Amino acid sequence: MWDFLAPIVTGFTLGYPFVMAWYWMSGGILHRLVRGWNEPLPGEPPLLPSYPAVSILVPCHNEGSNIREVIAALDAVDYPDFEVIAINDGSRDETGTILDDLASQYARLRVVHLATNRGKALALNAGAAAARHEILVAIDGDSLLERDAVTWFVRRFLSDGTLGALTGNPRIRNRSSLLGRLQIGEYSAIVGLIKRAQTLFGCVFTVSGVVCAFRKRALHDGGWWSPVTLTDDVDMTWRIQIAGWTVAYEPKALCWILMPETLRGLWRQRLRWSEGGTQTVLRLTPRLFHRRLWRMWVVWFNYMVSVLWAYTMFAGFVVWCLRWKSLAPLVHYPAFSPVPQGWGALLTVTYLIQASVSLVLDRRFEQGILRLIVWQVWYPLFFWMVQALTSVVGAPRAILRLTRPSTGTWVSPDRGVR
Amino acid sequence: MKTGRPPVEPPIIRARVPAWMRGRDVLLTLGAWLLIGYFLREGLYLAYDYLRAPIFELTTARAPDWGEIWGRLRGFVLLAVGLVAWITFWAFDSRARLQATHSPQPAPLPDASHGVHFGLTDAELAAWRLAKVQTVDIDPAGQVTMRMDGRSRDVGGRAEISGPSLG
Repeated sequence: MWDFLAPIVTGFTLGYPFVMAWYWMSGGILHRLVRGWNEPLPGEPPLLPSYPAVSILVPCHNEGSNIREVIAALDAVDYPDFEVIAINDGSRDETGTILDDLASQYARLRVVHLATNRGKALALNAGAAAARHEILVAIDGDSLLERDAVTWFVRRFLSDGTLGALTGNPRIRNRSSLLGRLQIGEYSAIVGLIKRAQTLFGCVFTVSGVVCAFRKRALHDGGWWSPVTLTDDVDMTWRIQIAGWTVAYEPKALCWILMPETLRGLWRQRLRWSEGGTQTVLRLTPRLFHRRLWRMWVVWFNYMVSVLWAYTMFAGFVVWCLRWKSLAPLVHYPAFSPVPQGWGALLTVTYLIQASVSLVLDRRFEQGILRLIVWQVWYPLFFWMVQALTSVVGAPRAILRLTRPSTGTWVSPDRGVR
Repeated sequence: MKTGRPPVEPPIIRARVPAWMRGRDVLLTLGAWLLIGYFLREGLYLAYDYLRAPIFELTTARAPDWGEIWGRLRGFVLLAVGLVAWITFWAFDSRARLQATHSPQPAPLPDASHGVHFGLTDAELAAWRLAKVQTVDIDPAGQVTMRMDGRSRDVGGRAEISGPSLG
């Protein structure tokens, strides 16, 4: 039987990233042709027929070192009518005092202090309840919203009444180390291309919680942010789409974010994403049994296949390690070397083409980004294995979490070298 | 929007890291490229031979067995082509929606519906939305109560929120 299965496992493990790379690239290019061909540059938004008022939500937990900069960037947002609501979620540092001080300086800023730390989901719910306007933009407490991002979000909402949520384009600020520079390419080549392709298809796996926008009505139909999930953004995206709204990517809505620049920080972040993604997908599966939601099944299926791929890849890597130790005869499973020979070389070249395509698409948003292709060589050599490992560890933890529900809490992340 | 605005510089952080760290990153990355180049050497030489004079002819390199390579890749290539056709269809299908400039807008969420979800009346929600700075309790079930403490003040900067007592 193993003689029959081994080629299937090998073909799947090596073929899945190859096939999907071409799919994501096509989606990115087609999105540019269909949506972006005649679009103005990100810094030159056109006049809108109307400017509905917007509330910007900034949930914060222990953001004392970042919050002044974040609020100053929000004050510079070029939009006629908006308010900023900072939600201080029981911070233990000086965030609360700084926000009180900033509230006296900035007329648009309002502050909601949560008496106890409740996690990002409930902080967003409290902020949304305090918000006066129908359109909400949410960013993280360490992220700098670009001057025209709100205009781009609103323009997109005005163009499509079925849109319940939009995901913006997070751009990485900190690029002092190899890990920082590597993630810039990842955000373009993986995150950006996938979101473009999913927007064309009509179903998005997740908005980026660090910069996204919602209609209140869609949030209400989706049941507002849930505190029982690790990744509130994935959960909210799925529930909004289950409620019948659409979600799309607006690449011109830029936001500058901080990412981990240590292996430990990166591992913790990616493990949380993987665990939270699987948790949400599994938790909401029973709600997908409706013909109208067939697009979500396609995204569900791709997610499950990607988790399965992580296991087959990891198992092959373990076998390769055993073979190295001359234990090969004990295991009848294909070995996958981390050294890019044969198929590995083909996958590496395919990824580098994917990264190049995405960086060409994203150079409108960031000058000189093409130079970063130099560092992207590490993605297939190293990052894929990290991603696979987080899925391998994250999936059982997510299943365990389903049986023992707990509320999501804040994690003080690694914010890179500054 | 305002015209003639000065461009905004991206707030990129390039912290000064130790020279050894920069050197390590450069050397490792160079090594990674060389490794990939080594494993692709036959293909690279083939391309070089094919493109040098006389162009589009192989002079010294031996052509690989294209039939065997195609036999190995055919299934994956056909699957990729199928998926590209699939996403092209959806791109064509969604172009009207993606290129639209305006669309009828849904009615905003009524405050009453919003307030009920958090256990607040219309009046309470309205009062909450007046506050400039406020402290609230929100329980794990999402029910909200407002604390009237020294921090709270309304948009006019008074010491307490005007409106009904909350919580």
